[in-house]
Formats: sequence, structure tokens, C-alpha cells
Amino acid sequence: MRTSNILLTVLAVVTLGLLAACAQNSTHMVVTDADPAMFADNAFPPVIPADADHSTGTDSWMQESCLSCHKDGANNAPIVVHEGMAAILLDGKCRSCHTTSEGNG
Amino acid sequence: METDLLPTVDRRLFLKAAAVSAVMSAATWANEPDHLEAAEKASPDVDEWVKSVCRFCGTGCGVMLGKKGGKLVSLRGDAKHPTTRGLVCAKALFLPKVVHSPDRLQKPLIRKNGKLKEASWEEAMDLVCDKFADIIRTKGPDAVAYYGSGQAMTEESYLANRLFKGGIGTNNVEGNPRLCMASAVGGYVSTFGKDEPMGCYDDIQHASVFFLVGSNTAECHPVIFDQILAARKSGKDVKVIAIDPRMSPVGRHADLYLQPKPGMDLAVFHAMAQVIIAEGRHDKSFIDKNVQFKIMKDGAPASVDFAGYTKWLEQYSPEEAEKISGVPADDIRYAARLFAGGRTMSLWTMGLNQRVKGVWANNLMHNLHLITGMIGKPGATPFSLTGQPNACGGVRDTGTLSHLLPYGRLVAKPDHRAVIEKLWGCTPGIIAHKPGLHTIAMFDALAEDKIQAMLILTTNPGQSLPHANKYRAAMGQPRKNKPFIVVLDIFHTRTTELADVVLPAAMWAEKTGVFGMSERRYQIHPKVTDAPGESMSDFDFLLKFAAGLEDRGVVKKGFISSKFQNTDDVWDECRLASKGTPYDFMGITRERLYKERGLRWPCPTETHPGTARRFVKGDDPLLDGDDSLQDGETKFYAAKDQRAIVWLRPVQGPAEPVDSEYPIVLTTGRVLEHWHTGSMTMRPAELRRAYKECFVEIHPRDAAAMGIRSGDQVRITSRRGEATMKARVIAAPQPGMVFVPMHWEDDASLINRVTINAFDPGSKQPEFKICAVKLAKA
Repeated sequence: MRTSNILLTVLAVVTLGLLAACAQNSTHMVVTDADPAMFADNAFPPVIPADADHSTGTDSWMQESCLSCHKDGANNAPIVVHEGMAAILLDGKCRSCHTTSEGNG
Repeated sequence: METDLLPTVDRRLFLKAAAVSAVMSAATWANEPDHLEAAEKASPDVDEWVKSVCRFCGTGCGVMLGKKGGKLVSLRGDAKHPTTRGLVCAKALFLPKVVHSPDRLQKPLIRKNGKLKEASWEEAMDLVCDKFADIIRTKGPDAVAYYGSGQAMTEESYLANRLFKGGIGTNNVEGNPRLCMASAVGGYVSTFGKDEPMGCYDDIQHASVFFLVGSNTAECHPVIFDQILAARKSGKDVKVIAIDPRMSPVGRHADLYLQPKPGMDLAVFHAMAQVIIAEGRHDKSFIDKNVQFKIMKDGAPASVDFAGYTKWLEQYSPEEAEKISGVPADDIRYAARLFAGGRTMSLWTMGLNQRVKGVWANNLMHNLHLITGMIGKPGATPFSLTGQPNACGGVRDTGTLSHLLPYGRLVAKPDHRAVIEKLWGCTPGIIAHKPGLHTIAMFDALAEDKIQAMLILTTNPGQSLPHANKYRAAMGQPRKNKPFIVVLDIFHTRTTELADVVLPAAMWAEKTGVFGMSERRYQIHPKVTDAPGESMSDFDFLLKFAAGLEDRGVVKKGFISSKFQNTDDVWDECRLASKGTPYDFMGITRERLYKERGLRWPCPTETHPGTARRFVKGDDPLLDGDDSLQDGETKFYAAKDQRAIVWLRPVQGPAEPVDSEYPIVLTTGRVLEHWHTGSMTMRPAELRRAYKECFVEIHPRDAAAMGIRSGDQVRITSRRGEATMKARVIAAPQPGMVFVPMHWEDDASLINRVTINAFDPGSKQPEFKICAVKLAKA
């Protein structure tokens, strides 16, 4: 009787441990995306490309690092014009709206 | 699997698209009506633009939601919004993708034989109501608990608070704001007598000095930081002082950056005060009229005079503060002179709040403003930023925490209980006089099976609580008396996997309600689209839950069911509950909320424009009858003797200092593109890709000593658990310190397995910002 109680207790502890481990190992995040047909054209700001030219590191926080090329077309970069933006609000940082492609910020 | 809907484009295409989309997406920054009209003309895919407010942080950005065919198809900044003026950040711009994510929960789930199985709402509600009613009857009201959120609507939090405290009779009512701003509440209440900032976002336009403390504003409140950058470029002489143990983007671009040892910034604040007074830069007249000085002696506050305060500060000379904090004495002097010399606006967040001395740190921020008179004037204010859209209006103001009742009232005060019991139509005496369990105590009680049922709405404690291993086991580990856990959410999370019942929730644009953000502005977000599948708003769930408990006899019949049909009804009761209090917003009617871009309380009448600055004669309506003041003068009417308190708080460090076994300080925080536990921002591919995986920032000196290079996998271990992630070697954290953003839910990098559950004894807010760890290459 005593042996069976001990065995039952051990079994219960192992089972609980396994269940707890299962609970802690599952990951639910499934990264999918919504159907693009659901959204208006130009609903989302363009993403900063993931290439060496745009790996600006810590300087990417200030727009000067982007505008050093894109303001006047240096290094053959196309000039970006944010038509309609109020001047004072152009002083923010590009990454407020434009996300990087590979965390190169 | 990640679906790559917006593949990486080449530079030319990217820039062409940027230009083409300027009017639409980038014109979110426009602040002139003609720009707004241009944007609208450029959006033929949108039938109607509807005014709303962002779902994410406490900045409360005004947004316009584009509808087509009854669906949300676009979001842009609201150029007519009075404070955010069309600015939004990337998280907001991708919100429509979050709403339409195919991962949304759509049917109720009940755990059967260890697995969550689809069920009908009827079956799920019967189970939830039966379980709660049975536990309330057999174990008592305090055997159940509510854990809510600063992301629920005001009406939802108010209703839950009403049901649990006034209907069931338990004060076990908490929410995730305990994790993020409880110390700010403690600071405001202990210094000024009432919670919430007295200043407003307008102050950003008037300030000449920004004192950013423990706040990575650039990433956590990007629209605020953009406004600061704009102010600095406006031609005015604007200085930015940043103080943070980790050099975030804010520190990199500040005019003066101070890097204290973690937890030791209190010495810097005292030293700044010491310099200000020693150099005669304080405002004697303001102090004489508005300030008193207190020190704790034998467990009670004792009065000190100005001379006593000055003498006490001598122990914190800049040189002494340098020894304690590591911040050079000359930098402290420079910071003090800048602070006292401008119109100074202080902004802070978790770096101050998530500490075992968080309330004291908040007090010392207020001290600096009080001794310099930098308060109650345009551009001069101590301003705590909040991280959630409705932590202020929804939880702090409605009193949806274990010790509070609505609009500045306390459960411990008999007259406050009596007022609320009468308003709510309670059984007299049902509101308990003792505060309920605060968040950490509540989850400790869950671990001990003392709380037997918990309702969790719109939050993810399975990932967001510190010492996560302990509390995940408390919620989910099968055992004989395992508590019954009910979770409402829009996605599966690390909490739903621990629940016994998971209910699909409607989110934000799928329901109508009010958010109250950091500057006391209440704004409405209307329903613009239907929720998917069988999802139901938290509000509708609470109505059904209350009715179920009434039917089962554990809540007075009609207590909720006879009072409210919709959120409008609850809003009207909120207004009534605020009447005659310092929060008075009787004038913020539903009609005005739909018409205007939010209103700031106090706003006692329907013709009142709202209050930019509290405690200021000529602005705050509660001082209208005070003829002793001239317009622009300050009176802290909520404080004892109508004087704010400068507290003499000693410098004390963190709960878990480093030692030879755990020699590194871990601090946690955020990145711009993600928000909190990532349950929303990890869904759109564009945001997800910005940071594909978790990382740990390590100072190059430490990395070299441990042979770690960028890209190596690193294991971080504390006394509570471990996490593994990629190294990013960068001189951002100081030597002896590492930084990990908290957004990733995968087992390996779930950083709250490592963080500590020690908490501030005043605010009960955990010390997420500092714990001791060791590092090794994995």
C-alpha cells in the first residue's frame, strides 16, 4: 500500500512537471499578414531597404543621416519630396514612420 | 511563417514610392487643412475618414481612420489634432494590418483534457459564471480577482471596477498600469495631493529646456520626441538634457547627457537642488507661497523648514553625488544651471517608475520644479509620460486599482466608500475598507491557490510580469486546486496558453469608447468596423458576466443589468462620479467628444473649454472663486495646507545589487517598432522585420572581456531564470550593464523570466529596470 502511494506520488509529480514544461515551451505567435487587397493604396509608408547603403546604424535616428543623400541627390540618391508636410513637422526622424527592413537602426 | 507582402524594394523604387505616397502616408504630418484635403483627395480608395485616437501609447495621437465598404482600410495622422497635429509613428500606421490580421481569435475556447477546444459563447459564459459564482459562495469574494489593462476603454475598466468592488465585494482589482506608472501616481499624490500631471503637451511648444529622465522618448514616445526636435530646430535656444544609465537615441542627441549608475540618479537630483539653492537660482517667492518640506521620521512625515532642507542637501554636493552616481560634478552643475535657467519641462517614464525607489525618484523630480518655480507656467512642468493609451483615463482616474475608488477616492476612507456605494446603488457596506491585493501580491496569492479565479482582460501577464517563471506556473501549472483563469484577448498570447477559458475580443476600432491620455485629455474612438467572427467587446462581455453573476445570486439583482445598455450609459455615470472632485468632467459629454478633438479635465460645464494647466488661476476652473490669487498664480489646492511637498528622501539603491556571482545589471526597455509584449506589433510583416529577433546590448569592454561578438548567442541568467538571445555589441549601456527589449514571446528570449519581482513599498511597482545577472556565450 505504502509503495503504491509513493509510486502514485512520483507519477503525479512527473506528470505535473511534464505538463508545466509543455505549457512553458509552446509559442503561439504566428506571423502572417493581412490580405493587401483589404487596404487603400499607399496606406502604409515605404520600408527602408535592407542594403549596405541604408545600414546607417545609430545615426539613423536623425533625419540628417537620410537627408545627407536624399535632400540633394548625393551619391545618385533620388531626392525625396514629402509634398504637403508642414515644415516644422519635417524636423522629426525618418524612422518615426519608415521602418527598417532588418533592424539596421 | 512570415508572408512577405512588402518585399524589400530597391532604392529608386523606395524613394519613388516615398514621394508618391507623401500626400497619403507622410502627409500624416501635415498641419494645415489644405494638406488634409489634399490627402483626402489622394485617397480614392477611402469612402470616409473618421476621427479617432491611436491604440498604442499614452501620447494619444489624433488619427483619421479611412473606411471603405464598412472596413478599416487606412490610418493617417489627424492634422487638426490640437497637440499631435498630424504626427503619428509607424506602429499606428500599421494598425489596420493588426486589425485585419488573420491570426485574430474568433471563437471562444475552453480547456478540455488539457487542450483549448472551440466552444459556443453560451457554453463558455455558463462555465465562467458558474465557476466564479461557486468560488464566491464557497470561498468568499476575496477568492476571485480582476486583472485589467490600460488598453481597455474607460467604460470597460469602470464597469469591471464597479462589478468587482461594488457588486461582488472584493477589492482584488488590479491592472497592468501597476507595472508601468504606479510610482508616477505615488509621486504626484505624495507631492501634490492628487494624481495626474498638471501640465500639458502645449508646454512642449513653450519650453526652452527639456529634462528627459529615464525615458527613451525617441522610441517609446516618438511623436513627443519629434516635437522636441522640431522645437530645437525652430530657431529658439532650446536645450535637451538626458539622464539615463543607457545611452538611448535620446542621449545620443542631447545637448547634455548624464549617465548615472543604475538606481543612483537620486543623488544627481539632490545635487542639482543643492547647486540651484547654493547659487541662488531658486524661486524664494514661489517657495514661500506654495511649498512645504517634509522628511520621514519614525515612520511618519515631519516638517522641516527651508533652512533645514538646505542643510540636509549639503550631504549631496556635486562631488559627493559624483562618488555615488558616477556623473561628473561639473555636468551636474551644468545641468542644474540649465534647469533653473529656462522654462523647463521634465519628461520621464519607466526609468524612474520601475524601481524600488520609484516614488522617491518621482518626488525628487517634483522637488526640482518646486524649488525653481518651474511649474504652472507655459513650458515649465514636471510631466510623467505614460505607455498605454488609457492607463490614465481608464485605470488611474476610474480607480481601477486595489486601493482606489473613482476619481481620486480611496477604499480606505469611509466617506469615499459611502459616496460611491450611493452612486452605484450598492448593498451598504459591501465595498471593503481594506485595499485588495496589489499586482505582485495578487499573483503571489494565485501561486498559493488563495485566489481561485481570475479574470484577465486585454493584457498579457504570462509574458509581462517580472519573475515570469513563477507567475506563469501560478496561472498555468496543473494542480489539484489550480485557479480558474479566464482571458479575453484579440490574439493568442503567452497568457491565453495558460488559461482555462479564452474569449475572442473586439479591439479598438471595432467598438466605441473613451481613452484618456497623459495630458488629462479624454478622446473618443468610435466603432468603424465589425469585429471578426464571434469576437465580443470586453464591455459586452462584462455586461453578460455581471448578468450571469446576478442570476446566480452572488451580485445584487439589477446591480449592473438594470443600469447600463451601452458605453454611453457608463460614460454618463463616470461624469457623475467625477462631479465635485478635482477631476470634474461633467462638461465632457458624449456629444462634445464626437465633435471636438478631446477635452482636458477639469471641465465642469458643457461650455467649459477644458483645462490646459491645473492649479493655475485663470486656467483651472477649481480656482475660479479664489480671489486671493492673480491670474497665472499657482495654488496646490489638493495638497495638505494647499502647499506641495518637497520631500527629503535619502539615496537608496536597487533591491538586487550586483555581486561576484551576478556581476552585471540587466535593464529592459523597448524599440520604436514594437510595443509591450509584441502581441500586436509582431503581426504586420513590416514591423516584425524591423527587428526580427530579440537582442542584448553589451558594452564593448564587457563583450571583449567575455569574448562575445555581435551576433553571438548569449545566455543571461539571474537568480530567477534565464534567457538566450543574439548579442549586439554597442557602447549604449554603460560597462557592467546590459539592455534587452521586452517584446519577444519565444521561450528562449522571454526576458521577464530573468527580471525581479521586488517592488516599491509605496507604489507596489516592480523593479523591471534593475536586477543582477551573469552572461555567458550560449
